[in-house]
Amino acid sequence: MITVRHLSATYGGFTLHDVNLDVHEGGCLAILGPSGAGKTLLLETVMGARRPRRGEVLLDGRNITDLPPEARRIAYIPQDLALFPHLSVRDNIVFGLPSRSARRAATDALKRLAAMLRIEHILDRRHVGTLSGGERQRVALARAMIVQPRVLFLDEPFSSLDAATASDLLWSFREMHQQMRTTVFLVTHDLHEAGLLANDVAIMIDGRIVESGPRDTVFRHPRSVTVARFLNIRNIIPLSDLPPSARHFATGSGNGCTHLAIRAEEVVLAPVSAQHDVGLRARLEELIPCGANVIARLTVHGTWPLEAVLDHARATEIERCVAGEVAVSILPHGALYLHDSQDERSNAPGRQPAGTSVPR
Amino acid sequence: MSRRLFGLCLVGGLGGAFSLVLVMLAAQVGYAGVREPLTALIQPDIRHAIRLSLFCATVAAGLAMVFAVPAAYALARYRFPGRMLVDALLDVPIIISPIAIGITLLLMFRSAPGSWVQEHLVRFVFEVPGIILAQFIIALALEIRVLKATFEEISPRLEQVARYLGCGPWAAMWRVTLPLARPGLIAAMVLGWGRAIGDYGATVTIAGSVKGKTDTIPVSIVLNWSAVRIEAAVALVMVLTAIALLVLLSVRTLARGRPA
Repeated sequence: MITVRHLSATYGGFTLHDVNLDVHEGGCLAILGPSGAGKTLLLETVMGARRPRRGEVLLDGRNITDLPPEARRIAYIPQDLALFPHLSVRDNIVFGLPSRSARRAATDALKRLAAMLRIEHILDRRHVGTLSGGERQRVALARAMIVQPRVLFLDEPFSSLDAATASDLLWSFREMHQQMRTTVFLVTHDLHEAGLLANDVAIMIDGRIVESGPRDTVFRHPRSVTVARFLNIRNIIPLSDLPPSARHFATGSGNGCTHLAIRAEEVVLAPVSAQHDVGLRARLEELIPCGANVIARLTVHGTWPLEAVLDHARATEIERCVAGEVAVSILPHGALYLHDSQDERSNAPGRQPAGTSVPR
Repeated sequence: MSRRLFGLCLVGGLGGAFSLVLVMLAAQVGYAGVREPLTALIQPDIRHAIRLSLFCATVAAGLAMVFAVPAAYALARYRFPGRMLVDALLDVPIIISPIAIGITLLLMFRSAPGSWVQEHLVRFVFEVPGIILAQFIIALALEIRVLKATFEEISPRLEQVARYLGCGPWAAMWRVTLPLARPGLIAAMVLGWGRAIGDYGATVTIAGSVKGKTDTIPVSIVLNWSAVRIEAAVALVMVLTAIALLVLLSVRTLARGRPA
C-alpha cells in the first residue's frame, strides 16, 4: 500500500498543494486531470524523481521519501516508454533483473509474461525500433512487471496509441493487473482508461486534488462544477438561472449546492404526443451524428441550452422533430446537484427523484 | 534559368572547395614524388617523431577522456550556479591560439606551485610530459564539446527508468548511458587524438623542439623544412594528411551508425 501525506512540491513555477492519497494493496489509483494540472509532477514526486518541499510518501508503512529510486522496488513506465534502443526486445524485458545470471535464467518468467502480453513472436527482435506502437507498449509493460514491483507507476502510457490499439492494450493490461494484483499508480486524462483500470480515482485541477474516492462514486456523483465539467457532464446550469417552470429542480438540492447538472446520456427525448401533454418540452435544434451516438442540441424555454446523447435508433425516431418540440424526461439519477467552489464539499450529493419529469 | 544558375552556384562552390584541397594534396606528391618521402619515413629521426607523436597523442587523448566523460555528463545533465561560465571556460582552449595555451602553461610552471610540481613530481617544461600536458589541454576541450552534445542527445528518461528498474547511478551509466554514447565516445577520442597529434603551437612552446627528444610530427616538419630536408618534411606532411583523412572518415562512419 502506498500512502501520500501532505505532499507539496514546486517545479518550474508550478506547485502541488498538500496532496493526500492512499493506494490500496493490489489496487489501481488513477490521477485524472486536464493537461497542465500537475499530474506528472505529482507522479514524479511520489515515485521520488523530484524532491517534495513538504510531506512524505509511505510504502507499506515505511517512509520512502528520501530513498533513492533503485531502493524503492517500484517500476515506472513513462509516456514515451523509454525502451532502451541499444538492447534487443528480450534484453529490454529482463533489464531489471538483479544479476546477469538472473537475466539468463529468467526464461519461465519471460515466457509467462510474453504469453500474457502476446509478445512471444517479437522476443527475438534485435532492435526495439522495429516494433509497432502497441508492441512497444507491451514490451514496456513486460519490462516493468518482470521485476515484480511493489508499485507500478504509469504516466499516460496509452496516450500515443491509436484508439483501437489503445483499447486492445487496455484490456490486456486490465487482465494482467487482475492476475498479478500489482499496486498501480496511474496518471491519465482519459476517463475511459481510468474507468477500465482504476478502483479509485483522484481528480487533480491546478495542482490540487479536488475530489477523490472510489471510481464509481466520483464518476457517478461528482460534487463540484469543476469536476463535473472535467467528467464531461455537459448540462450544467446555476440553480438561480433555472426557468420558472423548472424551479422545482432546485428543491432537490441542499447543503449549499449552487448548480444543477444533467448527464446528456440520461436525457430521454420523445416526439410530443397526447401521452406527453405534461412534462418538460424543448425545441430540438439539431441532431449531430458522432460515431456510435447522436448528439441532440435542444433549447428549453428559449434560453436554457440542453444536450442529449441518443443512440441512432432513437435519433431516427425523433428526426422529424428537428426545429420543433420534443418531450424531455430525465432518467433516474440523471440530475446532480453541485457546489460552485472547489473547496466547498457536500457529504451527500443531492439526487433527483427517479423518473421525474418537469411540468411545463 | 534561375534554377540552372542556382545549380551552377552549388556545383561551383562544392567543386571549387574540393579542387582546392585536392590540388593542395596533389602538390605534396607533385613536389617530392612518392618514393623519396617513403624512403625518408625509415630514417630514425622521422620514425622517432612518428612514434613520439603516436604515444603522446594517445596518452593525452585517453587521459582527457577520463576527465571529459564526467565533465561533459555533468554539463549535459545538471543545472548548477555558474554552469554557463564553466561551460564557456572549458571552451577557451578551442578558441585561443595553441601558442597562447603553451605560453599559459609555461607561466603556470613559473609560479610557486608549478615550480614545486616541476621539482618534486614531474618535469614538464622541455620534456615529453610537457607535450602530453599541452595535447591533453587541447584534446580535453574538444572531447568535452563532442561528449556534451552526445549526452544531451540521450534522453535522461532512459537513465531514470533504469534507476527504477534497480540500477544505481553507476550501473545506469554503465548499462544505459555509455553504451548509447558509444559512437560519441569513439568520435570524441578520435577527434581529440587527431587534434593532439596535429598540434604544433602548444607543444613547441612548452616542450621546445629538441631533436630526438621532443620533436613530434609537426615539430619535426618545421625542423626538417628549416634544414631544407624537403623530402623528410613532405613525408611527415603526408603522414599527417593520412591521419587527418583517417580521423575524419572514422568520425563520419561512426556518426552514420549512431543509434536513434
